[in-house]
Amino acid sequence: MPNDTIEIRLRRVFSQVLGLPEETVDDATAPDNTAQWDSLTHLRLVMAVEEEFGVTIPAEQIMDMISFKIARLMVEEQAAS
Amino acid sequence: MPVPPADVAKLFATFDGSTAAYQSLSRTLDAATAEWPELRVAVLSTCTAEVLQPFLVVEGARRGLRLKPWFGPFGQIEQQVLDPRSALFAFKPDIVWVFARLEDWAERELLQFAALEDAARAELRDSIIKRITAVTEAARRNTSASLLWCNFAPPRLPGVMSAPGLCDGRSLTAFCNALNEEMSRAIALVAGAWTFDLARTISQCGASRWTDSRMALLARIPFSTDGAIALSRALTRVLRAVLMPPRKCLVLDLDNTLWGGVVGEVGAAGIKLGDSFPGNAYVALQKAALALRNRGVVLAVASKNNEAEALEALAHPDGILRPGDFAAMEIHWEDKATSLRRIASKLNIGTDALAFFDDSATEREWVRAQMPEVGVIEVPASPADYGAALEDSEMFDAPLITVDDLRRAEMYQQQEQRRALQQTSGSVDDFLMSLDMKVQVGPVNTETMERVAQLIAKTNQFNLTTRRYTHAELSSMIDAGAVALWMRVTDRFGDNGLTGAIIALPEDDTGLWRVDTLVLSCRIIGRNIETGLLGVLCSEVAKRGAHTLKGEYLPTAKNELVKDFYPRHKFAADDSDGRLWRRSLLPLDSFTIPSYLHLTYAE
Repeated sequence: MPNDTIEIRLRRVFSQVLGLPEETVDDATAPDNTAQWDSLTHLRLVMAVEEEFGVTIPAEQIMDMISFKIARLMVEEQAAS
Repeated sequence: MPVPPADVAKLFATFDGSTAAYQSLSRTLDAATAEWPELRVAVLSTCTAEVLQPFLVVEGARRGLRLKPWFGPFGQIEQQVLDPRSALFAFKPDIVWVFARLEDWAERELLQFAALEDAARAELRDSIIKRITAVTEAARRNTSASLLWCNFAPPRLPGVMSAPGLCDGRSLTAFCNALNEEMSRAIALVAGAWTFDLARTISQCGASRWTDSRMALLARIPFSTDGAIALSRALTRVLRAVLMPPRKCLVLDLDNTLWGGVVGEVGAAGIKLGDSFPGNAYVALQKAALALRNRGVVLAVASKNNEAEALEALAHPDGILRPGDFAAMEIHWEDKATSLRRIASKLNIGTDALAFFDDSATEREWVRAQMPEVGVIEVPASPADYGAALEDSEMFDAPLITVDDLRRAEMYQQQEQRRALQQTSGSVDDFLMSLDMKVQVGPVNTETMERVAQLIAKTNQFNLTTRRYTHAELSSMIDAGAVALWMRVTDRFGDNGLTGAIIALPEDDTGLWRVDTLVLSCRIIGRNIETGLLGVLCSEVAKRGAHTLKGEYLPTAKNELVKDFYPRHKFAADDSDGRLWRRSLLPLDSFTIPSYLHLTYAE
């Protein structure tokens, strides 16, 4: 919902794309500790995050979004600017 | 949009269409549609397409299809298709979807396109067509799956077009258009192969919205998320059209649907219909309905009104549709479910062949609750969006229009005249005699295959076994020795078209044959024409050494009508539950073909 914090909305997106319960998604969630997070799913995560927050992650940063925490910071930074 | 079963519809009711929701819904659907028959779709492409998976699953389920996509390694179209032991064929696909991009197949030539002489362009075009033909024919040899080829969209290669926006005969766009035309002709020559209009899908989506350069450069994915959704929608729409029968009849409401206002309140002169808004929006819907009628969809009216006033409004000078365009009209104050049932029975079609368009949400809800099998079209609040709603309902999609489709609306009207005659003539035999029926039967060949496949796919009532066969399966049955016959009937009111088919197969080499399929279009039921068709089949199989014919009746919710078909034709029961029958084909035991059928056999 629009009034939810960035973190809550982002957790919902990660949970839907990765197919994991929301409560298991936290800052530490990353490809290394999440079997579902392969290269294809990575792109799906990027697309879903962009759509949810109406942001565009530059091509140079797409491959850098390698944890929930980094995704959160990227979105927060764009939301602030 | 076709209506999925209730439990799946519930999943879609809370679906917000976001990318993330597509991913999670596709997983939920996997369990929710576990009972549905699986449709295995193999994707062969010159780019990365795996990202389509959840979008295809969701858009498929929305249309009643349980898709199981499989993605070949990119850029390996020939390798997969030419090798009968490839991963592609191990997957056992029902559909092979080929997505080759011009820029992947001919980048070098395209980069110097402006400088290419006409001869070099012709050579490029020929080599691409040859490549397509080779792949299609190899696939046809190795699988009976339906083949679906994407046509080409003009490549977006920066710098290549000399003046983008100018379409002279030598532009890249013109080259693509000519290539696409030739490609679809070449593909149509192969049985069970079709061309998917990717170029249209991209232009509908908007070429700039279609691509995402980041995805193209990072992962060789040629489309954006919006593009993936648009593509999945268009593709599943085509699959549904190829695999499922369309609705046959559009039932329209009148007030605030075919014109603005309520005729009972404002009078025929006061309704909104004409050149300016909102009258022109209603005119646009009338034109859309007329276009449907022109391609064989039957129109009907279900309206709560005083009939005289409604008919007066249908004569409005700015109106497009006239009373004669409707094969049935139910105009009174009874409920609409009753009207729909009457319309179906009058037209001799199932209520599941009806689509219903009514501006009133209450009426739509009532019909949905009373008759879940009817295709209820979601009508938007503003008449400005009516035409799009009709188009987006996908209810009348059919893969190709046969001559019979074109004449169907007319044929239903002739049927009304025949019924009128039936009421004035004496015995049924007198009536049938007076129809002056000419029944022509012939072997199914390339010209008649399409229509026969369509008939087998659509017929529910007069269908002994309800086995459905694709074009490709039919032709392999014939190749394997089946006797497949079509039948067409003309009578004094006109040509009913190709309206029957029968297929028999040898059971073994001792002369025992089995009728596998027998279908008759509902518009010619009740005239004993089936006896003529069976008679011709018997003599055809006898010529091939048959001495005994087995028959099967597999009961369904809809084919009760033909329960006694075999006993009526002197077949003896071969089991205790009325499913298996057999009779000898000895000449002494031959059929009596009714004298009112003038039978001819076309070699």
